[in-house]
Amino acid sequence: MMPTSAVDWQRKVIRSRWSRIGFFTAILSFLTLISVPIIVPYLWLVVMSFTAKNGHTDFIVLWRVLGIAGVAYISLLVIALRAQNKTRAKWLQLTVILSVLLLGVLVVPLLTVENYRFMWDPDVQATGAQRNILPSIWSALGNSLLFATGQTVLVTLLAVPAAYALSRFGFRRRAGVLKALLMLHAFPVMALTVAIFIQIYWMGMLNSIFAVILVMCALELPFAIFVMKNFFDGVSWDIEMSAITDGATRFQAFRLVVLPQVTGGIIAIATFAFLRGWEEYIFVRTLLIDSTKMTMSLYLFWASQDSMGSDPGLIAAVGIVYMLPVGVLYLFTQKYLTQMSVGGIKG
Amino acid sequence: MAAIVLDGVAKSWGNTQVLHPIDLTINDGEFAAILGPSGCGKSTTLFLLAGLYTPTEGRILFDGHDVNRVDARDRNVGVVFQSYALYPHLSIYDNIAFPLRFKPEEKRQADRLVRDVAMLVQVDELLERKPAALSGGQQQRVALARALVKRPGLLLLDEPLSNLDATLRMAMRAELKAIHAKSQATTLMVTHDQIEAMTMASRIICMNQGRVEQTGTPDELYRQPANLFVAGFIGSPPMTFLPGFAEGPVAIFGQRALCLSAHCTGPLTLGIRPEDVLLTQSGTGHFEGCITQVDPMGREILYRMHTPIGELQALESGSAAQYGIGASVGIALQPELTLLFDAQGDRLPGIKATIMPAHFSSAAMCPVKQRINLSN
Repeated sequence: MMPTSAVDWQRKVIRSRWSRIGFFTAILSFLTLISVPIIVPYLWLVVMSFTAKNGHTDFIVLWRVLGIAGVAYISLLVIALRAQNKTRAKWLQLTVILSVLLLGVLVVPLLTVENYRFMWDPDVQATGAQRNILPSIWSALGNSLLFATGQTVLVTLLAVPAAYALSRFGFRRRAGVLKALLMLHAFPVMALTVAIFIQIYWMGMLNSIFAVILVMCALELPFAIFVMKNFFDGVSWDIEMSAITDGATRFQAFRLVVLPQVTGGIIAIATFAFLRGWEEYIFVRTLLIDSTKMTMSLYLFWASQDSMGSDPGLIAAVGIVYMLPVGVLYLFTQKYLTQMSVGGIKG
Repeated sequence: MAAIVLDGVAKSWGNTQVLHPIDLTINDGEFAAILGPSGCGKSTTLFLLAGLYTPTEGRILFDGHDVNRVDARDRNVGVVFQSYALYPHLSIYDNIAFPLRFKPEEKRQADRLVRDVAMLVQVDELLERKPAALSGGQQQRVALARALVKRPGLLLLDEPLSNLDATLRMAMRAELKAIHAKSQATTLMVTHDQIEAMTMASRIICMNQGRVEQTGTPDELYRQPANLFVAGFIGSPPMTFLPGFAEGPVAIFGQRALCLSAHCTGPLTLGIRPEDVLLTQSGTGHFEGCITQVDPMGREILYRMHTPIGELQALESGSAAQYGIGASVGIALQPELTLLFDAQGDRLPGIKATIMPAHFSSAAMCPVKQRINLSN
């Protein structure tokens, strides 16, 4: 072995090592940098909703939480990179326990649930919001739930058979129907607001949640049908034909064999319809005038419209209550949402 | 069990006729196979019988009853699809039991029927599993069990072995045959694999471009093919075809004349199966050939060679090549095993070609050669 070549190899090893480290650092810092502006507002929202608004404690709490989160993040990185497989779990435990302890000592004593008083005290006037404008939060939550659920049921019931027909049956203008669906989905909904208001007014359905459900359903259907059609396209013809030769009717084949294959798709479109209904603002604002029909999005809006200056703690608390149900829903259904794809109009 | 008759059945999609009117009879309890290249209409025929397609013309009769207006679900036909089409969300037991859901009269003995048929196809150990946990061969058996459990009048198999690997295919061929012998269900299999059709079916329907080219036993199709298509499609390695020209009792192939047993005029094709070409010592046999390629195939060796009548192939048994490239060999043809086809590709059944001795041949060729030159 020549000595010169040995030296060369050593240098190459060092160079590869440094280039690996450089690549890794670049990726990590990029991901961290873009995550910060996404995560911090949520953190801020949670912190705000639990602190008293006096221009002092809320800042202390926010900075302490951010500091603890930053340290925890860095230690997690170090553990992920440096710890041995055997001791990794132990280090993780240690980090979590330390963070919780720090939070408990430095942050928890400064927290208050005062901002959440609207949950048990329907008279929100104490917060400075206008009298008689805001109903109880529970009524708003109930309306939102009714609205989102009603929309979900209607969209799912209509989208599933429509998507099945578009996926399975050859009929005239089928491609045309698909293109029209796509265009409907791309249409700017805001442009329709006035027309829909007048239409609902003439139908005498203003102030009815059912009317808003109908409107939202019409707007949501194209997307749901498209997603669902894709799921049906993934179920092979053979399986359906096999069920028919086994003695099933067309409907039995659909119910017993095809439908079980697309439950993921149904959950996906139902979740999306629910989320859209839950967050809907424009049409509930336009079509539900009476405050007893107020949904959560309107409640949040009116809670922040205070002539005496808005209360950020209260708004943050309302925001948290508004977010919690969809967060929980998303936790259970994200597995199905990731399978979703919006396919082409062919096939 | 049923006897199936297709009476002038045709199918078109829009303006494309995928199936020209065909007449076909499948006897009760028979194992028949439709053989043909892809796109020949064989699967269409199968789906017409299953009731998934409706014929544009003609009648389909099950035991003499017209079933054209009977839905697929009421035809009592068991189908094994090429993809097996097992229901992925159901266990093997529920897959096999699925057809019995629609037969209320079988409800009491459903469990026994499922376990019996699972035993027959040897999947009784797997009943609790899901289809995804099964190998290809096991899935195939389950699909077969599901098709058989309702005791179908007609069992249809769509390329049943094409998704299996080579060893498994051999084993399943034998098993399908044994299962047919036990169940005695009238069976129609669709395949593009001639070995599958030859080994399993007692009768083969050979199709091409939406038409039935020939129907017969495997031996009939092999030894007495109706036309060039059947002759070329069946047999591996395939039959060698040599173009020639006939004038009265004599036909010219390459540089040699062959004596015909009947008068004939016009272009001819001579078909010889490689195993019917006998290689002998150089100097003996009908004429000489020069080996150009040697393909060892394990049990046999395929020689390709130049001969005076054209390029020939010969299949010799034995694993070691006896002749190298460039060797010259004597070639003997058995006239009763050579086939002649006319210009339209149909076989001329009554005519045999005999090789004339070389000196006689060249003399006999003269007038014919002139005739060919004139016609050109």
